[in-house]
Amino acid sequence: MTKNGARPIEILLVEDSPSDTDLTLEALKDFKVRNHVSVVEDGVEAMQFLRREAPYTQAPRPDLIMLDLNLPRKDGREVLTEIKADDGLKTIPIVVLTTSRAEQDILRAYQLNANCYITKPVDFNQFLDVVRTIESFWLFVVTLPPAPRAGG
Amino acid sequence: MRATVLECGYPRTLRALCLHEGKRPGTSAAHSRLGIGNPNHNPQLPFPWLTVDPLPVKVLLVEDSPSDASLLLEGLTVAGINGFDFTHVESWAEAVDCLHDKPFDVLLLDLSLPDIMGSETFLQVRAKVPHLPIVVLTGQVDEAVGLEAVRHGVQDYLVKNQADARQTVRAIRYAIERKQTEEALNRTQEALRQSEQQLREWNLELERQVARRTVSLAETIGDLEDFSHSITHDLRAPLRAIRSFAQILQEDCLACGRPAAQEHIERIITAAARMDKLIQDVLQYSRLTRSDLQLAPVDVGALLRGIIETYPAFQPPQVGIAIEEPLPLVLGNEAALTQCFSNLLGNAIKFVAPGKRPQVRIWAEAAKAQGKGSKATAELAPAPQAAKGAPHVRFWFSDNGVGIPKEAQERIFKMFQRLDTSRDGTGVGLTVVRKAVEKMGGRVGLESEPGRGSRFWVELKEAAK
Amino acid sequence: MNSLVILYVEDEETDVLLLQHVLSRAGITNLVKTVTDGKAAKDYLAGNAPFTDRRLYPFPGLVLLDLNLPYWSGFEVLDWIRQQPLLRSLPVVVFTSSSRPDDVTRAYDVGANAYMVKPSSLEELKSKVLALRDFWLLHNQYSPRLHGPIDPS
Repeated sequence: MTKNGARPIEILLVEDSPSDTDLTLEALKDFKVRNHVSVVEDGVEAMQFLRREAPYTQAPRPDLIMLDLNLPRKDGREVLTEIKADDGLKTIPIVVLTTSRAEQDILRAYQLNANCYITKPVDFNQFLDVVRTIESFWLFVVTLPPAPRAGG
Repeated sequence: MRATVLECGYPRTLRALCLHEGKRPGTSAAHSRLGIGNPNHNPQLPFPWLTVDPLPVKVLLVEDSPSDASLLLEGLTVAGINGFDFTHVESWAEAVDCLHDKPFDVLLLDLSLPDIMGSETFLQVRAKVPHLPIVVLTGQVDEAVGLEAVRHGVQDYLVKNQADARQTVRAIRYAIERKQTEEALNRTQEALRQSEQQLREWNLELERQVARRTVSLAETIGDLEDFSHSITHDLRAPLRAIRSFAQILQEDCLACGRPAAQEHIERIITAAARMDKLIQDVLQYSRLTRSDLQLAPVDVGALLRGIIETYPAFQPPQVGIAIEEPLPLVLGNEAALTQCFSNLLGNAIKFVAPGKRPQVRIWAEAAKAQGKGSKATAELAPAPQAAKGAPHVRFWFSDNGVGIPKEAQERIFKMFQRLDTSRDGTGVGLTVVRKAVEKMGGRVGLESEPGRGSRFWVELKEAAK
Repeated sequence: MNSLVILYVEDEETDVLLLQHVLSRAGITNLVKTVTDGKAAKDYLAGNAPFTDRRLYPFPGLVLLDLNLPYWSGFEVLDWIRQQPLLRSLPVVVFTSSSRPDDVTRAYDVGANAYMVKPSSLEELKSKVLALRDFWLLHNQYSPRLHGPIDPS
């Protein structure tokens, strides 16, 4: 039995690089578990989307967030902090998917309660591989948290 | 009787009577006047259960005018009336003392006494002797007063010097009866009031009991559901071990060249898998019964398409499922509906004749009103309590399977009923469907004949557009 | 990441055996240390007796945590881990038989990195383990370990 009652899994991709976005979307498109990806390009939009503020008042609640750290307007670390501080949002798993491999960044992300940290490979094929691995684990194997009940 | 008259302390009453009679006081002869054996007992009386006392009627005459008093008493004597025992006093104060000392059957009361007058009289008197019949004596001019007295609860009135002996006697007798009737009525009313009160209390107690029992029952049900949930949950752990190690054994055994052993292991794995599926189905059912479903508008068409997309078993070329769109939106719970429709589809494709390709057709129609509709429909869930006004929509799942005989149709939604044990199935799937649909305020049913396929239907509330 | 040590907190022996079987068949050579209850888990992570020798009981890079444990529940263990400043970035993957939504929500809420339901068949377990390996053992980046005393209470 599928989780989420056969509803596609909602993914929010917070990514400012159009090429990385395209690649990721491509990799997610034909995955065996139906999913739907929303894309925002900076930290401010990310929070608007999650809080369903204009222009994202009809935004679906994501089941999973893929978050780049280096974002314009509002940094990914800030986004991470804000999400994990919000009771209504903090259970949504966050996959940090970013270029940096620096120990400080990794440590910081975990301290801010990121669920995991993936460094984007430079190589195109490796990148696809990584996204597929993310899919396999997070969309297929993992049980994602259900949306909280309305009013609760 | 003698004692009672004398205790009153006004022996002159008796002396007066006796002198009148020419009899000596203190003798039994005097008392014979007071008569044993009542010639006035009349069985034709309207209230036969009121026994007219065979003993003389004890009358207290409160009359301040001696002439009026003797006139009345003489009148009775002259008329040969007996059976009455008169005590005469001349003021209300004396009367009160007398009433304290002995019982009387009736009070003859003059309305113009020196120590009590007017309407206050009735209140005081009634207060003093609430249960005593009263006949008031009034002067010619005061007839109106007499009437008023009756309105105030006095039983009768006599106009002095106009009422003859017979009228006096009648007034006295009727006053007594009337009072007795009144008292009986009061007692009945009181008894009725008490019964009502008692009834109310019992009712209240009953409601409390029901409430207590309901709470207790709910707790028991809660416990049972928790129990069934945890036991089914705990059963899966050892089952996992059995199944997985059997599979490991199977892998290890591939090379051992003993086909019988391989077959045995296969059976273990299959049985464990069936058991696990059964537990999962029961778990699901128990989850459904435990919680309230959150309802929201659901796009049934999209839901069905999603299910088909997710499961290759529902896709061509193995199976052909035709959905007649558009399908209306319903008020339901997405997860539960997904489960329902999956179960229905699974069922629909499972029971085809060998070699035949399963075909399922799904369409919707407005639900027919209660009571109409095909007699062939076996209705297996009670009609929803909610608004009859809320429109319902009926989804049909028609298949080309082998069909279900009439006798079996009743049982089919019950837990663990499997009609064909040769095929896969735990017997819980349709039970889950029924439970879930009921929880969403709908109904399920089916039409089927052996050899002609089955048409399952699900009725749900239409979502407001 | 062959050097990454996995700490498996699980009281059911058969589940431990199964996992080890599947890991070895999948060619995963990472060391898997097992403890069978919550107190042992805390002691292991804190380096208390009998786990003081880090050569025998190396500090894990990943924790697999069952929820149905004796004495302390998996939630309590998870909560304790997240309270320790030095353990906050230790990834914990809940691996349990419960698929109840309330348990799932609570686990993420208390700070689990991911939640996996124990599958009933060997095949499913294999595919889950492979996905786990690919993600956590091949691609995931781990924070450098901070050193210091861990409060075992």
